[in-house]
Amino acid sequence: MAETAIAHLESLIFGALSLKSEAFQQIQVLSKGSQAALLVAFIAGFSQAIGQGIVLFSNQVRPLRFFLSLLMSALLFAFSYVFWALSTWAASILLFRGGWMTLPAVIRTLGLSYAPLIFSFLVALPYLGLPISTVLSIWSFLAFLTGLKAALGLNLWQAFGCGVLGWAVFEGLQRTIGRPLAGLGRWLTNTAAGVNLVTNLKDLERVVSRKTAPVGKEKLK
Amino acid sequence: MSQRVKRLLWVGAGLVAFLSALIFPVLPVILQSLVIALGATWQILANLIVITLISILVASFFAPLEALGWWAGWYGDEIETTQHPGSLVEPFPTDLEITRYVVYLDGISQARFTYLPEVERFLDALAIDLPDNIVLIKGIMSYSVLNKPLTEDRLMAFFWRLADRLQMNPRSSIIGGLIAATINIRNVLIVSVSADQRYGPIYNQGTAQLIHNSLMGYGYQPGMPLTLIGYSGGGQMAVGAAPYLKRSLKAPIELISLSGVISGNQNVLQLEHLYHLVGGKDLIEKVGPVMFPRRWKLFALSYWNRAKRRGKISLISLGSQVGHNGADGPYGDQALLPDGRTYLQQTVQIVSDIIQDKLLLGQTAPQIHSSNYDRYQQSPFNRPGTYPLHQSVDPDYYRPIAPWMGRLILPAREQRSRLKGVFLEVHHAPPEYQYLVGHNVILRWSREPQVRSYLRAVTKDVHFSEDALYSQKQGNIHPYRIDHWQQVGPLESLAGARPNDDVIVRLKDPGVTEGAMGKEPSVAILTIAHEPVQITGRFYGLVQFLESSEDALVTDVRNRSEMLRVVHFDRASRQFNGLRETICIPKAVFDQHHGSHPSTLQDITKSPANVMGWYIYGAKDASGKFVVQSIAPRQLLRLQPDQVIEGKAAWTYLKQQAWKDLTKGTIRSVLLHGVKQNTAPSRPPVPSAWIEGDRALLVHVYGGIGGKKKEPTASSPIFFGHFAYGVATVIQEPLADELMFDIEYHQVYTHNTDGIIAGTIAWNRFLGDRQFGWLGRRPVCDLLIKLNVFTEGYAAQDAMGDWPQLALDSLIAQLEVMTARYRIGDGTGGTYVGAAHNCSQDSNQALYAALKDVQKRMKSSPDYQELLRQNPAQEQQFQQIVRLSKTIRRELMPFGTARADWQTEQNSDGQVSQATLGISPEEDAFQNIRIGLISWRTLLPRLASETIAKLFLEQGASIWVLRANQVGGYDPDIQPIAPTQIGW
Repeated sequence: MAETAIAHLESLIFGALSLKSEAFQQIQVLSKGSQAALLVAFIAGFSQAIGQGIVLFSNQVRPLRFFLSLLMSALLFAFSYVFWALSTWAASILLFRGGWMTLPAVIRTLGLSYAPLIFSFLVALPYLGLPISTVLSIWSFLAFLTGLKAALGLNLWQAFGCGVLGWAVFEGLQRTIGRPLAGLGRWLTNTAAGVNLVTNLKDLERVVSRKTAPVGKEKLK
Repeated sequence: MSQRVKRLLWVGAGLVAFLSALIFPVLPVILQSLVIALGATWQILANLIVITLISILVASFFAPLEALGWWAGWYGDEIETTQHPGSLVEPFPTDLEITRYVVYLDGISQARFTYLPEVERFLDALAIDLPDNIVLIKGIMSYSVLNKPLTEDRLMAFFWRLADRLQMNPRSSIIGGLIAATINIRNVLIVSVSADQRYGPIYNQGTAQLIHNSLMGYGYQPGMPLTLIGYSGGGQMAVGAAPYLKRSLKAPIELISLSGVISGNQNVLQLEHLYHLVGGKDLIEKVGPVMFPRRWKLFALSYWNRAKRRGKISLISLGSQVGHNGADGPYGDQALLPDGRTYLQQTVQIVSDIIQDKLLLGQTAPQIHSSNYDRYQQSPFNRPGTYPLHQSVDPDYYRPIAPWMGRLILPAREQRSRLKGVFLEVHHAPPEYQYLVGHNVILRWSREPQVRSYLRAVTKDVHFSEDALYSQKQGNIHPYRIDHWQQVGPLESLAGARPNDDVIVRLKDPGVTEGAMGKEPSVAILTIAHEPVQITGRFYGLVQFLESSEDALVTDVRNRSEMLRVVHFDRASRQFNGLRETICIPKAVFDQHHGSHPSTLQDITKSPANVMGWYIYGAKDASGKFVVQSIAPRQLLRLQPDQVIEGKAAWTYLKQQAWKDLTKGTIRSVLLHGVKQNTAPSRPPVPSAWIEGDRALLVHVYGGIGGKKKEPTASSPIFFGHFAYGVATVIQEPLADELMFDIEYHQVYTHNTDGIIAGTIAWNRFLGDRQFGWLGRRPVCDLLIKLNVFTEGYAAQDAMGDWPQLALDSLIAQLEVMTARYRIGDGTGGTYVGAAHNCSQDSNQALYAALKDVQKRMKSSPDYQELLRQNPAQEQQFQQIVRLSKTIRRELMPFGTARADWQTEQNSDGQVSQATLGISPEEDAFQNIRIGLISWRTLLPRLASETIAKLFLEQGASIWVLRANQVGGYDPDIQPIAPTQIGW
């Protein structure tokens, strides 16, 4: 039967992009909904990795490893998304103490709400990239709120609270019991890239001004 | 109406009806096809637009790739960016000393190393106008980090060649124009890469590398002044590259943006100055302020907006008719300005004038509130012209203050390049140079390496900031005569510090270069290695003021002077029974700002200090009468302590007693001997004697003016006071034939209404001056600290010729840097008292830098390390200075490395890399307070002085405490206020 979410992926994504609640309701009922959500997250992750390619360039990653790193980031992004879903789900339990919000439902909602991040590759655009990245983040968060509202029957403030608390739990986990996992992720990234990646924008600038250019006889100090 | 006409009408109507019936069914079809045809055209047009947009989007993605790939090293090592190092517009001058390099970066139409004909015309004309000792470099492909033209060795090179050909042809068609425009689009994208916060650092470093290579290829020596000219997009390229060039070349860099499109992201604060030339019809340039948010007024803390407020950016209009490019652009050679010049001629003129420092920018507004300084000028005794140049005095009773003295004269702007210094009107010279007295000679810096590095650190373009202009309007004295001058050195900033040429100085051992013909004053040149010391007067005597009925105070109303009888000190009898004479002591002009008289003669004979007598400083007026401009109590400056305290009591005295007695008119001189910590108690402290030639580190603090006529800042319960370092030297004073302290302050002083100039100021100017000094109005505490390892150096010094400076010398060097920076506010023309920057903070910053410097030099000198190994006694001395500097640094920075600006302000070459002075405390209030609190110990003058003194005492130093409470005549309306003791 063709009524799978994968088959309807395009319309689901467009629905999510235009913040239509139907799309989020559909992905809950169609079969293979979770896979579709994961796929959206993977595409978004890959797109984001391209968008943030500057990080790899700045760290002077060689071409082959460059593409390896892109793939690795996409995978890690999808992986971290599952944890994000987990923490949002945990947050919903903390907030509402109701069992009516299932983990797969949260996974599907969160995954589809990553649809705007598919355009993350645009972040690589010179000068316009940074504002685009901000717009996309807000867009994605709005989609997430729409999703929580529509598919899980929450009102706007509940959805907002759930999202914020989910984020807080995620950050908390990352800094506590999630540390080994985060470390593993970092190790994987660095292994793929072949160098110790510096990812923070401020640090990157420092790296760039400290390292010397690779060519030229008269090197800038 | 006739029947015939009616019939005709009917026929006509029928005909129309028939035709209509005939056409009507076809009408929709006609309309339909019309719509379809139109629609198809629209469709094509719309598709074209979409295709174009997508192409631009795709091109945008690829725009940063070249630079990124270069950075990541993807192209391997075969890339050679030194291959086309630009070319010279005119051949290289072989026999001339080059004074400046100029690099031209072209606009976005550049596709290869040669430019559009109009650009070449501009560069040729500019090269002709510039003198031969300025090198003009062109032909750098700044739109490629690989310095690769679009037209060669690229996948799309054939296309770019076509586009470039079409662009060069002024008669190409619309299609041709569109194709040619692709070069512009491509390069605009590169401009956006340079402006991007993420790609920018990488790309701009690439551009900087290209310019660097080019400069080196043409014999550039680091440190030489550099001008970047950026036309259109080249403006952004130049702004982007400048900070990196600054770092590697360590040179003053100015930037001329010709119709430049500039984002506000790059650090333009590091430039000497940015000249932004724009025409009124330039629509492209106007994109910048709209498209780049950092140039919006909203982002007040962006580099662009901060630079604008600091006066770093001058907007220069090219006229209302001038556009961006082509015939009506700045390079247009047909269109005429109202004054008859072509646009091109005007552009060449302005750019050439900027490069040669001839451009006249708007002068600063006059003062609205008159200053104390202006009011003081009303009295003739404050004007140098009152005192004839040629004078002689009785050497038994008067002596010159110093062998070399004179008045600094700021040269006219056009004299600067020839003079390379200032004029000195010689007031006094050693006997062999008597012929110079009364003449103007040239005063220059010597060419020793340390002097050169000092000059590099403090020489800056001066352009007044908004804050400086405002402060000036409020009646503060700023160096407006040097506003908009390029590369102002510390001598010029001293000579030009006040509205008039009235800075009187003494020189330390100047070198004298005489002309080939011998004694010709007009060609004589004096060279100095240290800042001239600001003084008052020319000669001095030692007298006691007399009180007797027949010698009663005579007031000469006409001259606003008072005549006073004095008796001179007789060296033979060692008493005041020498020459009796009447001298002139003019009345000081009332100080409206502080609300009191700077000094008074009231009951001066009753002053406790009159017993030991006074040093009087001044010169004779036209009538031959000695005019007293400054006084100093002998009791304070001679080496005769009222009390000697040793051991732990020394610190107790300093902390509890030193400021306790505030009886007006009193003087106290106390000698303290500290005990070195960690030494066996059985060993008694050995107070080191103070002998002629000894030098001491001086820590100066003054308090406030209270009483009925209290100064405005004394109204609050806390009085901070003022802090300064200085040097006291023990000299044999010939008139009294006894040892005396000769004191010079290194005043880190913000711009003020009195016209007090930051710099090295002698005691008789800063305190003793009867108009400008503080002796009569403020309580003062000078701590003269003598610790051999700090003030005298190490035994190893003699063994090593080029042994690094002593700690004290290092401190003096740092203070000279700091005061020179203060005089011009790092180029902004003003400094202001705030929590982060003030006398105390910045004096101690200099100390911090000096200690760091000493330690670094010691550690890095291998010879010294070797010497230490051989001699354990020196090893101990070395350890002591290391310990001292460690504890001082720890105490100054209680929160570790909290004041990052102290660490980073000077780079390894001692160059000031971040100009942080001249920012008014209001501009960044929060940051200012935060920094102030972090370094709180150096924020409070009294606490800072006590902290420093304590640390030295603990190392066994000997400290001479000189206290004076409003010494001189008696003013019943004022009371001394001690600086508030907080922090212990």
